[in-house]
Order: sequence, then C-alpha cells, then structure tokens
Amino acid sequence: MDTLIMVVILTAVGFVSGKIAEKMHYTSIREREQKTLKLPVTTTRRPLGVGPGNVRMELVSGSVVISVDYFKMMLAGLQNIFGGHVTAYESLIDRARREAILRMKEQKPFALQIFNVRIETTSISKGTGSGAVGSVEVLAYGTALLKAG
Amino acid sequence: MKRVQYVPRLPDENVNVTDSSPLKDFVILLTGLLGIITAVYVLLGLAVDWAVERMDAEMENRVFGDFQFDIPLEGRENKRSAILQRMVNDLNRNCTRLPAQFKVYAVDDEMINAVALPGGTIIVFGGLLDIMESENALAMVLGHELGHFHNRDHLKGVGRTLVLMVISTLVLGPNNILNNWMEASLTLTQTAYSRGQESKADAFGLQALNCKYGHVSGATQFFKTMSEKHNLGKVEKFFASHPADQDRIANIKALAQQQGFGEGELTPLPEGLRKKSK
Amino acid sequence: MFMTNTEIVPGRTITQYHGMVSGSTVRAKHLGRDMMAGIKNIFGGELKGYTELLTESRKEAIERMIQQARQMGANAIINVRFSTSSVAAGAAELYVYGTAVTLN
Repeated sequence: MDTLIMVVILTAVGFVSGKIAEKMHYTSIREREQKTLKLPVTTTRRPLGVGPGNVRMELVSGSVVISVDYFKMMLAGLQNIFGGHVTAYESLIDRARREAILRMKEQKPFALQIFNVRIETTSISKGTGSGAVGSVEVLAYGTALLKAG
Repeated sequence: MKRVQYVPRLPDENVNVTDSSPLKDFVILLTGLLGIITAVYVLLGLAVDWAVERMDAEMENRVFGDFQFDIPLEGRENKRSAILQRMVNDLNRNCTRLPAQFKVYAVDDEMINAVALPGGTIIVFGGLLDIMESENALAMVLGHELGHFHNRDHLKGVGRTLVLMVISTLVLGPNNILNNWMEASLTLTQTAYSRGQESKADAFGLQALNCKYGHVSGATQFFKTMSEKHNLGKVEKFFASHPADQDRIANIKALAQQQGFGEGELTPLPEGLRKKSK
Repeated sequence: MFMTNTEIVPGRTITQYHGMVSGSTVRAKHLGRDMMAGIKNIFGGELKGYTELLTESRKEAIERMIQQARQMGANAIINVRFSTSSVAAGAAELYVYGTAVTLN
C-alpha cells in the first residue's frame, strides 16, 4: 500500500515538474536559436563560403547533461514493453542536442562560422538494465572561424 | 568562382519528437500492462490452486519441510510453545482430524498475529497471547489457523507469491522500476482474495471450538478486543487483509446461530500462558 | 533530396548553405521480440527483429532529417554522419546529422 502511494506521488510530481521544465526549456531553446541564427553551423570539414582572409580558428564545444523525470521513466518502461516510439526519451535527447549546440555557439557568438561540428551522445545511468535512471550527456564540438585581431 | 551564400532559416516545426500526449499514452499502456498481468496472474493463480489441492500433506512436508522462513524462531522450545503444541495436537486429534503433524511456536514479539506456514508450521506471536482472556478464545485462533491448513490457503499464498515473483522477474528483469507499480497493484488483489479465505477459516475454527468445548463462548473475544484497540478508518478497512473486526464478529455470530451452537462456561487460560504482570 | 557523406558533389556546385540539420528517433520492439532475441542470443546468429528495428529507425531518422532540410529550403544534405546513443536499454536510438545545402 505504501509503495503504491509513494509511486503515485512520485509519478505525479515527475509529470508536473517534468512538463514545466520541458516547456520552459523549449521556450528558451527556441528563443536562443533565433538569436544565434546568424552564426552558421556546418558539418563540413572546410568552412563554406568563406574566402581567404585574415582569420583564425579555435576549437569550441558545448555540453549538457539532462535527466528524465520519474513519470517519463515510467512511460519509457511501458513503451519499451509494447514497442514503438519511445517518446519519453525522444524529447529528452532532442532537448539535450539542441542545448549542446546552442552552448557551443554561445561560446563564440561573434564567430564567422563553426564548421566540422560533431555530436557525441553518452548515457549516464545509475543502475543497470531497463530500470536504470535515464540521463543523457550530449557534447557538441567544432571549429570556430574568427576574424583575426 | 561564385561565393557560397549562407541562407539562415529555422525549421518550422520540431520533427524529431513524435507528436503525442504523454499522459494519454501512459494511461493506455499502464492499463494494458496491468490488464495483461492480472489475466496471467489469475490464470496462473488458478493453476497453483489446482496443483495445491492435489498436493497431500506428505508431499507438502517433503517440499516445504526444510523451508527457511524470515521469521526468527528463537525461543522456539520455550514453555509457551509446548503448551500451544499440546493444545493444537489435542484439537486436531479430537476435532479437526487433519492428516498432518503440526509444529507450533510461540514467538516473543509484540505483534498481535498468528500465521500458518507451509510444512505445517503455526507461529503465534506473543502480542496475541497477551490479549487472550480464555482458553476458548485461544482455541478459536488455533482452529482458525488449522482452517487455513484445511483449505490449503497457506500453500496458495506462497504459491501465488512465488508465481508473481517469477513472472515479474522474467518479464521485467530484477530491478525494473515498473515492478513497483506491479507489486503495489498486486497486493491489492491479494488482500481481496484472502478475505474470502479468512471467513472460511473462521467457520472452520468455530466448528473446532464447538467440538472441543461443546459451545462457542469466547469465539469473538479476540475480535472484540481488537476492535476496542483500534477503530479502523474507511480506507484502512478496505485494504485490511482481515475483514474488519465488526464484520467478522457478525459473521461468526450468524454462523453460530445457523449451526445451533450454544453458549457456555469459559475455561481459563492454562497457567503458563497467562499474561505476565509487568 | 540528395544525400551524401562527402563534402563535394562532383559536377554540381553548392550555391547556398543553410546550417546543420538532424534527425533522431528512439524506438523499441515489444517485449515478445525482446524475449525472442534473448533466446536467440544463446544460439547466436542474426537477430532479425533487431535488424528490422534498426533499419526502420534509421530510415525514420533520415526521413526526419530530410523533412527538416526541406523546411529550411535546401535540396541536398552533405557530409551526413550517423551516431547512436543508449539511454534506454532495449531501444534503438538513431541519430543522423549533416549540412543542408542548395545545389544548382
């Protein structure tokens, strides 16, 4: 009986707080993406559209660790049993990747371009098996092209 | 060569997250899972019951004879155990006539309870002995436990729990977070199930009591004391594994009337079981 | 939509670039398939269910990336890279990213 009440409370708390946190995060992500839109990011090995000139390069990176809430963990467990999209983790990973790229861009907001960007995703979990607590680390790194001087 | 031009533009929508309502998904999936598990559990439970009813006492002793329980059986050879043992032997030889040997232990513990375990073991906790006012009341409790053996409830309980543990570990792995949900919801079905068994065991105990003393006085003393001790709220009443004391008193009284069992003189508790003055 | 994991497309020139695009998906097979895979693990051999799952997931991730590139007004994606992660056990987490460009 106690376990049930405990689990219900945790799930409810997780649902409410997780929803609020996600909404706020997405709002912030969209806002900052709009703000940093002028800075191009590419995955190519050479900068695109930049002619020879007085430039210098610098390695930039951005990383973030985000965890799921209790509700999403439950939902992910259920979705894992029945198969299909594990939506609980989709938004988690999406948020983490966009945040990491944004942090990378914010390191050098006045760069001409960030090229050769690579993205690494690692899961940091406590425990083993499908009962593990899901949290994800995303690292985005690339080379920033800056005006010299 | 023409310069490559940067045309900045954000995607219109987030394509990387499937559009769905998490809460709705959660409710649907959870209901589905619980439905499936309940169905499997009930089916396997029936299979266990079926097997248990065909398991004789000899077989039971062979299987569960060396079973280790989590209950500390220290002080098992004490005086109170010996008296209880004699009472149970007497009750079974003359009245209930179950084809098994019972081992009775009194355990020094405040808990007001008695349990029937596989392998013919009855454990009576000190807290229960302390509130007994007569030998008749104690005989009713012992008869009730013998009733569980008669109905094979002790094996059904263990069998179902075993089945449940095996399923959940097989399906979800040993440390899945969903086990919490399952475990919690299954305790509910389990308590609902055992309520019917408790009533049956009460009826069995009442028969034994009447057989031994020729009347059923003292049958309800235990429940009366209990209901005075604590008044259960509505919620607790629903979840309690034993039906609320008042209901059981009423049931027992109705049954006694129906069977024509009378009232009579109470026999005092045996010397060694009387409450130690503190 | 033209896709390549090279930087230059022979015979065509890049006229515009639009930035990074990515597609990701997290998908799982139902429990029965997971259990079958566990049994198959004893004997070895191809786990058809999982091959299927990964193929489907990769396809979907690419589909999502293409959708994003289209919304940005591109007609090709160059320098495409695949990557995976493992947040949920027993689920396939595919991630694909590249640079959205316009070819002439």
